[in-house]
Amino acid sequence: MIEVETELISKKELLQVMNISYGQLYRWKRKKLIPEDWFIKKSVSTGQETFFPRELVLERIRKIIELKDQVSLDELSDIFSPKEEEVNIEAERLFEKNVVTKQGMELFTNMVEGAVDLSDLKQVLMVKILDDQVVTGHITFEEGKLIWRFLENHYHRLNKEESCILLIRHLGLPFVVGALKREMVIVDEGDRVVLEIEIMKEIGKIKLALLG
Amino acid sequence: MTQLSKSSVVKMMKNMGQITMMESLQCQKFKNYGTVTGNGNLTVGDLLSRGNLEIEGEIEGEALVFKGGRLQANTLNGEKIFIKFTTGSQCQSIGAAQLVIKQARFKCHPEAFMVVDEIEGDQLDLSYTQAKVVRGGVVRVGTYSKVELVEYQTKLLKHSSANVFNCRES
Repeated sequence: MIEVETELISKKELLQVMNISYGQLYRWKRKKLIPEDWFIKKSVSTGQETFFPRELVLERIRKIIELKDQVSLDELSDIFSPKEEEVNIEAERLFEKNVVTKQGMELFTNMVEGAVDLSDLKQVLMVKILDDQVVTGHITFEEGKLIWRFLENHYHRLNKEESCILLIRHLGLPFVVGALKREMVIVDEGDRVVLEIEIMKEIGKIKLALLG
Repeated sequence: MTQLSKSSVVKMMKNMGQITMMESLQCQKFKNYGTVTGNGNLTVGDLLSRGNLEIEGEIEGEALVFKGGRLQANTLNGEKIFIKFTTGSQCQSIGAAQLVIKQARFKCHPEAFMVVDEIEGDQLDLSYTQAKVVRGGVVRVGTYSKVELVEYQTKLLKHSSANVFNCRES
């Protein structure tokens, strides 16, 4: 269930704003491009109406419309929906498509002190995080290590639509928290959320880059 | 009687007897000439049901064709849905690109209706249907249908025997 506080958009308004038809919306729902959880039924004067979390659904539909002519709905479904089975990734393609860089790769090799298996999506995700955050100097190598340790242990549980991991600094000391829903985590004012990674979104980006 | 106690994935299925689904069933082609009851969701590519389909979950698929028998489900979601019922049937909501609901001409109880809370789709053709809300592109409210509210985008056609209490263009 989505929390009540999230700003909602009615189905009718959504169709008008995005200029799509009922058929398209239901087709995307069937293909799991729009998660079941986002269809929120609420009572209104005319009976029941369906609402969606505004930001999430608008962003998702914009993306679908943008991509639907380039890739098939089934491929899109792979990108958006969490799946247990791993995609088959070739290391060379990752570099070719600029998903990860050699520098990020070196950092990761140092971090795990040994064999790197890039057919594992979890590891590709970590290299990408290192690329985006450590190489750019946003977080330190040690903090990256904390994230990897967390990912390694809890990735299977976080492989869900809205889950994310947070890197928080409390009095300068970094620690990592995983959340199945971001809005369920309350952080004290004194603590600083340095980094927020939406796992499915990042994985979607990787899969998309590999498709292109 | 067959009982599917766990979630099942099947390529093709033909039911001539009775199936009870305890969890969801995924099937590429499903033909039902008997009775299907149960709790879970039914996900199909093509569905042809000439018997009874009474489940508490959702039925979704590309082409859903119901001819005869009784239909009862929480939600129907399909690209093309065709329903021709012989006894009173009901659904909470139906969403489709194309939807046709009508009463079978033979062997049908004259007072049998399809009762739905909410119908949404691009092209809707509804006969013998009682609905609270109908939202669609081109909506035809056909013979003996009763709808409390119709919201249409392109066109609304209404048969003289149909009752539409409220309608508005959206």
